[in-house]
Amino acid sequence: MRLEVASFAVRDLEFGARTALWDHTLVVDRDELRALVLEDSHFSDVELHLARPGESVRIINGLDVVEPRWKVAGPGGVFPGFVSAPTAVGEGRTHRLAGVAVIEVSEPVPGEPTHFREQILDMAGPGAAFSPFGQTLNLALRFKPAPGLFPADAPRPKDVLGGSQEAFDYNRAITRAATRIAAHLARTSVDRPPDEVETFDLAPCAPDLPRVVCTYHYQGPFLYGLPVRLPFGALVHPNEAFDGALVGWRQAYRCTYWDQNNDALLQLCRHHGRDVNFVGCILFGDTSPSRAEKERIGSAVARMARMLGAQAALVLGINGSNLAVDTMLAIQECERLGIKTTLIYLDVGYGVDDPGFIHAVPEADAIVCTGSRDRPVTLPRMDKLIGGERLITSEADPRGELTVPMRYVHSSCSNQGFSRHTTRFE
Amino acid sequence: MGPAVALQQALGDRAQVVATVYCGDNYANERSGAVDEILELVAGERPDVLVAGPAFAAGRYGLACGALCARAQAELGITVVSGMHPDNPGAELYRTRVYLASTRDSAAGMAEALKAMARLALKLRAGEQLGSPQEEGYIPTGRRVHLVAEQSAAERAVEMLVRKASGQPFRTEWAVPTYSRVDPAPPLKNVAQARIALISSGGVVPRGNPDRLESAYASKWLKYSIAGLDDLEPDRWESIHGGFDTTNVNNDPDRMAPLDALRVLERDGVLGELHDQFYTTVGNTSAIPTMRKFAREIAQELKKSRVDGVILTGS
Repeated sequence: MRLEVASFAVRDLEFGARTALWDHTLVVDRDELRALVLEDSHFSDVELHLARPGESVRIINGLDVVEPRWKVAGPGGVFPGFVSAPTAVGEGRTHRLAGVAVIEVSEPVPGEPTHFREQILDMAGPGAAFSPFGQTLNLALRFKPAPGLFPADAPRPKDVLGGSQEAFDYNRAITRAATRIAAHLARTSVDRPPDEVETFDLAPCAPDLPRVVCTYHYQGPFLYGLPVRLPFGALVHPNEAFDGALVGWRQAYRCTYWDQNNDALLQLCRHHGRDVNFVGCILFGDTSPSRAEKERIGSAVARMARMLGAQAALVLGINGSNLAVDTMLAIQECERLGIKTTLIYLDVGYGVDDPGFIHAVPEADAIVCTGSRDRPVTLPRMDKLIGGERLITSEADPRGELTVPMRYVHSSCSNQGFSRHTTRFE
Repeated sequence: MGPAVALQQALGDRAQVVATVYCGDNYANERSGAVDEILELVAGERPDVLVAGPAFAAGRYGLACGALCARAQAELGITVVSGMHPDNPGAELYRTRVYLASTRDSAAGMAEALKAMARLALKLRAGEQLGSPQEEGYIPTGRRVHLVAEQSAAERAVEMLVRKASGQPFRTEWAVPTYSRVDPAPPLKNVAQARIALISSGGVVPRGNPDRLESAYASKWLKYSIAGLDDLEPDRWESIHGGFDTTNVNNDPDRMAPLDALRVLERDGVLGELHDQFYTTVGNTSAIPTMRKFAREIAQELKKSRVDGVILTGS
């Protein structure tokens, strides 16, 4: 499966009369994109805003972020299940607008779970360094629901964790709109020469290289457009992630952009044939309230890794909830089968008495830490505010100085491998 | 004298042991003002560094070393180092304030303990930046330093994985904690004669939460009389736990703290007697040392009340 990813470096983002890519500047026709979004009856309106590095801009109520990509050759299309047919992707040639991000913004709708939902993105000051999107040229889409979609007298959802079906459907419509916009923007590159082309092809390689699998505790709601639960795992090729088959948002912990650019998958592809033989990616994860369900998941991951002949596994784990047990059991089972593991992991410790693990197994002896979730960060006042007038977790002036835990900073706690933030434990 | 001979050897010519203070564990822990006395003796020698222990697994010794070091550091402003086994209660109390070399559990580890303590003392005195607890051999202090790495997490992880898979040495950035194991008590010989207590970490409290038990990060445990009660009725009891959907428990709090079922067993003679105090807390996002403290305090009360066994429920 051979995929060429052609990158078009975008150095500026502006509004203009016609959507086009011209001399490393992406021009966006506001009215055209607005009309595209409003084809979907879920929305009464959508505001388009630009948020560029260095600007005194704060975005609140951020949701998923996607990178503009468009497939110019090969089967299927980008964002299968949302923009294209839900058929296999990962071959041919895909264009990407490097340095551009499309950010969904929406205030919580009735019936939507709001705990953990706070996501703040500053384009200047220290906040810009804590979020990966403080350094990208951002097009923010602020969605407004159609009147009547959420009647005031609707009953409260029984499932506090999952929220109502209506809220889920509305947020899926947002995802569909954002991926359509992203695809549309990347189409502007079709006849242009790229700045860089990288080829991803897990070709057969020397038999003495260690066979490595990426076991990815997946927090994304969608795979090929389908909301999935993966108690038995799913095998994907890294190229499928690069083409946008893994879509969805989960607070600071994951977004689509960083699976289109998943750094663990990218690095393993780049090391393939050099010092590893990268055999594929196992996605796994499910809500697992009982011990038996957790053991089933851990065992399934290890079994699948063994069937792939893996000798080593790079584990993208989840910490900070009961899902941490599933990550640790997967590691334990892999090690028990002789598959060596390394874990990318977030510190969820709160204070000196807390070692930072919900659960730990002695086999997890090789951990790379992506920083501390509850580290307080102070964000100075910003001039412009996008995304509403109120924070979810506080009555404070959302434009003003805020001190928040790191997990409120957009995409700051991801397990997708890109983060350079880390914690040293003394 | 004592370990000071070997300590001097470990220090080499970079430091000199000027005096040794010694005292009994019980004296140091039980006699009020004992630490003041020792501190005064230490201050009289005007040392640059105080090395206390190693205490290995001896609890009272560890507590005395920790208390003395903490005070010497704060009040005399000198470098302090102790050494003990990670399970020593002194480690739990003092590791965040005092560097403690991680030692074996008995004096069989004396030589290596003193070497580690000497190394730490010299480095700290010289103001050198310490490496990780694993590299330097001290008990993790719990302090976190936030950094930006040169490489992404994925780059570091792939490098570490290649090393681990090919049998080369590798170093974790973060060591998993070792949890101490508790051996279960032997089973009750005769439950029909036993006094049983009900404990829950599921946040069950009288409705309205009059004593303000926290929904997460609980700072206390509470007890309520259940004498004469057969049932935790939903209009009088509730769970304020903040870590799960409490709907089902709040429809019937016995689902979390099964008083109704225990009363039936009591009436049928399956268990001897239900203790008339119900113990409750919240086990959501709690730090282990806090929970261990709760457990010790509750267990002491239960022993005094001659409770033989416990039904412990959680969420």
